[in-house]
Amino acid sequence: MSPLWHALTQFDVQVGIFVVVGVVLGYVVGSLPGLTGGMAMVLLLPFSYGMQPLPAIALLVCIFIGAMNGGSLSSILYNIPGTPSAAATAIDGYPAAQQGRVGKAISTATIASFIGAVVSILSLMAFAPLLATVALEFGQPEYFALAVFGMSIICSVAADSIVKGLMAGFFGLLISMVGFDAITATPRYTFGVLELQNGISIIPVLIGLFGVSEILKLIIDGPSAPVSSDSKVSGLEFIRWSELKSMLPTMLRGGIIGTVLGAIPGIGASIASFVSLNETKRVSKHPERFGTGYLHGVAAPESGNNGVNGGTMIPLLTFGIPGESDAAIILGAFLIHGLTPGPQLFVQRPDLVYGLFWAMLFGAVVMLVQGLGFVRVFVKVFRIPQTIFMPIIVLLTVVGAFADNNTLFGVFVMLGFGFVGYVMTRIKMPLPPVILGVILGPLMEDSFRRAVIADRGVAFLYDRPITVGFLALAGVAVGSFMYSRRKSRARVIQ
Amino acid sequence: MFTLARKNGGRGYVVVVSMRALLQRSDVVVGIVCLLISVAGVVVTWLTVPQADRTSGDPGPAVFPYVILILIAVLSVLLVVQGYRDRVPRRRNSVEGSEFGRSGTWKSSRLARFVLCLLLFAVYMAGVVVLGFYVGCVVFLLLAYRILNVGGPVKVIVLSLVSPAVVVYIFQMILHMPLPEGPLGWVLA
Repeated sequence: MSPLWHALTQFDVQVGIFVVVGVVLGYVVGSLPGLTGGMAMVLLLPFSYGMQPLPAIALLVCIFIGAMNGGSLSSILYNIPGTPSAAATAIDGYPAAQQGRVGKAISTATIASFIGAVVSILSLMAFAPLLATVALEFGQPEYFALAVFGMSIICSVAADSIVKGLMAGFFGLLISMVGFDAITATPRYTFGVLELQNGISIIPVLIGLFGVSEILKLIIDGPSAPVSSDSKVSGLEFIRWSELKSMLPTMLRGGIIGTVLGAIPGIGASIASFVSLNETKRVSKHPERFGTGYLHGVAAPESGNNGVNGGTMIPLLTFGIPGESDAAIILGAFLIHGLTPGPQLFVQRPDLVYGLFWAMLFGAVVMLVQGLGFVRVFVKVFRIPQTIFMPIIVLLTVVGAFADNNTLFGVFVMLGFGFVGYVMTRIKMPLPPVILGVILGPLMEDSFRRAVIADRGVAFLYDRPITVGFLALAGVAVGSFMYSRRKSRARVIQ
Repeated sequence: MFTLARKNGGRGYVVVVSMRALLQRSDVVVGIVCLLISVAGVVVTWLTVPQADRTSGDPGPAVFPYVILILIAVLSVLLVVQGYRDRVPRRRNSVEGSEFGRSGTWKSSRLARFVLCLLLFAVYMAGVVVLGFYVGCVVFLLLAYRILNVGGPVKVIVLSLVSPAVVVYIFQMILHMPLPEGPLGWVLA
């Protein structure tokens, strides 16, 4: 019997229970603005000391899986991404909810998350060593080119005006430059404020721009129109089979994108979700529908960010390299139990490695069942008047911003960005590019400068195939978007 | 928006800027503000961020900020030009139009509510900083529900007292997450 199937026979009830607990806990934490799966993992890490290795690591990994999906919930219901990786989901998810299609949006997000996760876990099972080798080919020039490609996505999420979208993205990049620069440790834009020296964390920026600005909108502009009581738009409708069939390619594509990008250390789910959304929009026959509550716009980012679930585990398990902070916590759990991830782990503890694969797969199924099972509850939550619920959300956002590093500074930053976000909404400057800029800024600058130092020039921009490939992709993405935009504008004029 | 007018004496022309027309084109205002921000950014970068140390081949910590600020400045000019050119709102068929474009300027009631929000959040933060999370939240909810006309005083008071208590119970008691306490927080704890 192969180790993979042998591990399945070892999968017991205890592991199953911890998988369910992990997914549910991750989902709840992920859905609360500002609280991330990483925080829940850190809180539970000490408890894993006394547990067997497989249930302990499965618990942490399943928190990660649950949180990735949970982030979409508040994005769809309140336009407040629970986690940074769910920011792209809000672009179409929230308008869909506003149109009374809450059930459809949540069921789409859940199924897309499930498919993205399954694609990535199966890839992890089948191609882990191969993907890890490709991912490790990434040097600084490739990271820079990937960041440029990431920025090209702004065209896709810029909504009405590309100029405003680009400006928002550049402001995001500028925000990411605050604090000590990574190469020479020179303070930039800190103005003597101690808290600014470590830079501005993305969590308060995200909660402020999306969460607090929504609350300001509610107070200043009044509540938005209530969801229709018409049964057709009551929000309880699930996604139909025909709709699901049409979205399957989107979900599979997102899963693959998430897996590949997740396998590259330092990329993470936020970038994967935006790239997946961008690619879906680029190949779509109806790019003009994105941003208006189009369900493909929910499926793409959700499958993309959940595709990272398995992708992140690839460098971790095969080389012991944690690709992002959550993976570093999982690495910590391995080390606590005296296990060192790497090629030898597959030989020495196949039961554990393959058992973990099955646990992840089971976790994805639990996520699907839980997400679909509770759609009606979420729809009911959505029906609570905004005027009652939104001020309570403010309390949660303050908890989230404070929890980021246990200082009130994060809360002030969040409120400041809340007002900035409100003004940006009023002048029709899109918010997602700011987040994209904050996420990609450090990657873009650091990798460019390191590459220039290593190469003593910029020859890396044209003599490395992966770099050239990503830069070309960025050009194609911008070009094709401009072309389709021009075409749709001509159609409107006609 | 910009018109040429003869000087009083009839000799030469002056450019007259119509503020009303200017405000009706939100993109022009946004472009000008962003241009000013980018210029200020360049000055601040020049004054506070050291230039490159060429010995290492590193472009230096100031290069990226300069590039970004210059790009913002270029885009701002583009936005001003676009805004001026588009005498009618660009997309009448878009889902949402620019608020500035639709109504000309912010209505005074909206501006008043914006200021009210600023005050509300200032009170909230002062409450959290001085009296701690729970009391700050109670004060905030009382004021917010009053502004939003949620319902009768009993409903408002119950919601304002119970919701922060539940949040504190879950995060502080169950999850052992620290919440802001404030210097006087212990008195009311």
